[in-house]
Amino acid sequence: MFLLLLLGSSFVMIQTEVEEYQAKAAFMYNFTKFVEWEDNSLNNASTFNICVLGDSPIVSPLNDLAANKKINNKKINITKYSDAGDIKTCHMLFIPEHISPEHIKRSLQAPSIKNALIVSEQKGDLDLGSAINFLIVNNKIKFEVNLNSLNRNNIKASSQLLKLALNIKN
Amino acid sequence: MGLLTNISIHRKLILMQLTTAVVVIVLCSLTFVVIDYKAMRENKIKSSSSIAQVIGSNTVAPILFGDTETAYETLTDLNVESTITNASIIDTTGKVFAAFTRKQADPFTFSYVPKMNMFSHTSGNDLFVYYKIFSNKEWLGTVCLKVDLSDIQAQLYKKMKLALLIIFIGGLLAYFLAYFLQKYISTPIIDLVNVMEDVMKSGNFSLRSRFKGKDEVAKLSMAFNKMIEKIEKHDHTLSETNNQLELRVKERTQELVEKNAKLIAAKKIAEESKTVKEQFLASMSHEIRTPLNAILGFQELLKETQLNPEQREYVESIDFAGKNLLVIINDILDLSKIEAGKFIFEEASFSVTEIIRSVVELVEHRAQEKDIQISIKIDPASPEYLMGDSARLSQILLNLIGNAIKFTEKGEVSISTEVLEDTGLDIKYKFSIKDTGIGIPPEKIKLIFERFTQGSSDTTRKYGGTGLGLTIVQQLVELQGGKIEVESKEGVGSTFNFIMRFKKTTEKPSVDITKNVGVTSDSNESYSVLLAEDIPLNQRLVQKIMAKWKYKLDIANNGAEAIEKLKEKDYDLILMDIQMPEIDGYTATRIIRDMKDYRKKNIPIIAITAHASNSEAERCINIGMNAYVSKPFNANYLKKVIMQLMNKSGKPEKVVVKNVSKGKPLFNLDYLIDHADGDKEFIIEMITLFINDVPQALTKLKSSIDQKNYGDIKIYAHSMKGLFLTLGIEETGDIIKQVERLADNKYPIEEIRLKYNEIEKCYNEVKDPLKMEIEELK
Repeated sequence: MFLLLLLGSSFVMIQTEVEEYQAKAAFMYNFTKFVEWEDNSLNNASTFNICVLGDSPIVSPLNDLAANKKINNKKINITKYSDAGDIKTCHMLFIPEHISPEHIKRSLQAPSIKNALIVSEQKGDLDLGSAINFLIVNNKIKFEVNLNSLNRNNIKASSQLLKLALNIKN
Repeated sequence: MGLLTNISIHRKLILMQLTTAVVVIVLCSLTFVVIDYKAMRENKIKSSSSIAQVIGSNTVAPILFGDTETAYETLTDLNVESTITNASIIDTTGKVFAAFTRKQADPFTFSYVPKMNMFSHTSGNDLFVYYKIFSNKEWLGTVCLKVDLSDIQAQLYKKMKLALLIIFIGGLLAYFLAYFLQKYISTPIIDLVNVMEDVMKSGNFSLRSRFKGKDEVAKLSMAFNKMIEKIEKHDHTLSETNNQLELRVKERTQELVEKNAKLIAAKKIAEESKTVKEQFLASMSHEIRTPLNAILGFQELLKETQLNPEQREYVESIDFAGKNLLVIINDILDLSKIEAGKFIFEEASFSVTEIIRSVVELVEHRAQEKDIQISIKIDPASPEYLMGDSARLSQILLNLIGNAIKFTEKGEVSISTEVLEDTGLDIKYKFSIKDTGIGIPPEKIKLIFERFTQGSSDTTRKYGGTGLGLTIVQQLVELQGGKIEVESKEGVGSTFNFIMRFKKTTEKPSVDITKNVGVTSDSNESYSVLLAEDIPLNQRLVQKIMAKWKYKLDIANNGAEAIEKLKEKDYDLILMDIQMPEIDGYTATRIIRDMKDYRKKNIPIIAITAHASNSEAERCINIGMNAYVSKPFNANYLKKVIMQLMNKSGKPEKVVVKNVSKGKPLFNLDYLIDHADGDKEFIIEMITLFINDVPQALTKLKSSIDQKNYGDIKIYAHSMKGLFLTLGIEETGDIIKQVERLADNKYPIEEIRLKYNEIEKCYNEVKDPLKMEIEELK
């Protein structure tokens, strides 16, 4: 119920960091509803793996989510990696804001994430190869989309999702 | 229904069709309008629901990502749907996520959250649609729409107006159609009705309905024609029957008329035979009474002579038988009169006591002979005078008392009266006659009032009588409204009671011949009597009686002789028989009463007649006779009548009458001299005319008398009258006047002949003196 209320009142202004990451976790869950993984990697997997690069306050709300929800009828598995090379299978990767662009670039070279949806939260991350990047506008969580990144990772986003994006980069 | 029955069939048809059409049109139009309206609403609901669904699915992402702007943008797409005035997306807590309000529309806040996923309801002109948004079975929020339905309402009104127009046009069309189509039904019916009315009015059953076809009206028409045909036939039969009936009635009437005529003829015959019977009885009584009169008269005279006992016994037998015969004849006559209904009861004042006394006087000597006491007891309450027929009462009493004496050997006969009832106006009076006689056997009591019945056959032999007496008594009592009864014990005696009602009166009875009959004044005065009688036997009888009474008697053989004798001599009394040759008693009396001589004219005349009837007696008195004695008369009775007549007027006064025939001139020329005015020739001429003309007139008068031509008698008598009167021969003039009157009333021709003789005699007397007069005048 907590999560539903949160989702339902997602248009409420963000006041704290906890609220911010709760909302970002919810967004990440909702994104799965509007994107398709075109390769079979998701279908073959037994769990939906969400990877977090380094430390982030998002882990806690993500864990809450994983306890309550399923994505594509699969249990959600949250794993924190300090190095992308350690990642075995990943369907969604969250890059927190403190990760440096070099780190991002190097991490994105990892073959295990070539079919994952990359979500970041630092302005300019989109240019580094992120597919969806969170922004905060007027205390509201917004996002922008890089279609190239989506295409490269064989992920198709629905028009509804794209309609909500602040910017769409080709 | 009451309303419908009163209007004509064609209107009825129009009305019916119109009603049907209008009802159908209205129903159809309303159905279509309602269905249309419902369909529009449903469509609206469907389309609005679809819109809500589309909005719902398009706003899943904005809701999930809290993007109110995008949600609002999605809602603003509703601008194209002009009927949606308000739209909102509310979240699960009821907070508005995004809201849209059409320009110029009022803002609306949806607060209702239905349980169903899709729900709609209307309120007034508004439709509300709710649609729940789900994502992966998670309820995200609700799409709410408010839709304005007023355009549908407007369309409804529009369609209703159209429907009204259709109803109106349809009705009009239906009316015209009905108006033309109803004729196919109503016209034949109306035609039929007209034919029926014509038949009814005119009574002409030959009229027919001309409608042809095969429908019910045609059948009706045919049925009517058949019916009327039958009626026509019946009518025809009926009129034929009527005619026959009329004919029969005529025949019957004719028969009745014939029968009536026969009946009238039969009645006439019956009446004639009745008259014949009466005449027969009357003449029989006369024929029997005349000799009987003589027999009884001579028997009475014979009794007065010296007779030996044997002879006396024979004479008394004759007396008994003769008197009995007389009673029989009188009874038969009475009975026949009663039966002919000719009995007339007089009503006059009388005294009961006097009547009883006089009746007793009549029978007293018989009672004395048998040594029987007679007692009279009169009810003191009985009034002095009563009204009734005293003669009949006397007859009844005489009969009953006579019977009582006759059948009683010793003892007494008591007569008593009793007033049973007195109403003030009339009284109920009871008479009882009781005897101590032989009595009547019980088995005979009922029969004694039957005619020709007596107690036993011995009775007739022993006591005489006809057995008619009591029958007559009973008839007389009952005819006067009374009742008679008898109580009797054989060997002890009988009592006859009769009850009659009489009116009361204070009037004294007028002097009556019968009343004084009993009071005989034995006057030894001698009268000179003239008897007019044609039968020598009767002449001799009267002669003997008169000789006994020492009366002087002259006898005339007929009326004419009597008149002659009276003219020659004065008499005190005339005994006048009625039936006589030449001039009968009536005529003779009339002639006598027409005489000039006062004394002769007023001489008492007693009719002696065998015509023993009341009408006869009445006729005698009317014609101028003074009394009436029926043959055969009892000498004593005759004497009593004579005495009474003489007492009434006393001994006729010796009136001093001038002998006019000697002192008075035969003729008087004063009248003629007065009129002649000194002209002697005129007087001579008139007298000559008289002398020459009268014989001629007399000859003519005589011949018309011979021919019994009453008309001519009158004419010639009249022609002569003037001649006599002119010469002052007034006596003869009067006689001629009488001739005229007699001729007028068709009196017996002999009477007129007598007058004629007088006139001729007069002429012969005056002829010579008149001739001498002429000589003198010359």
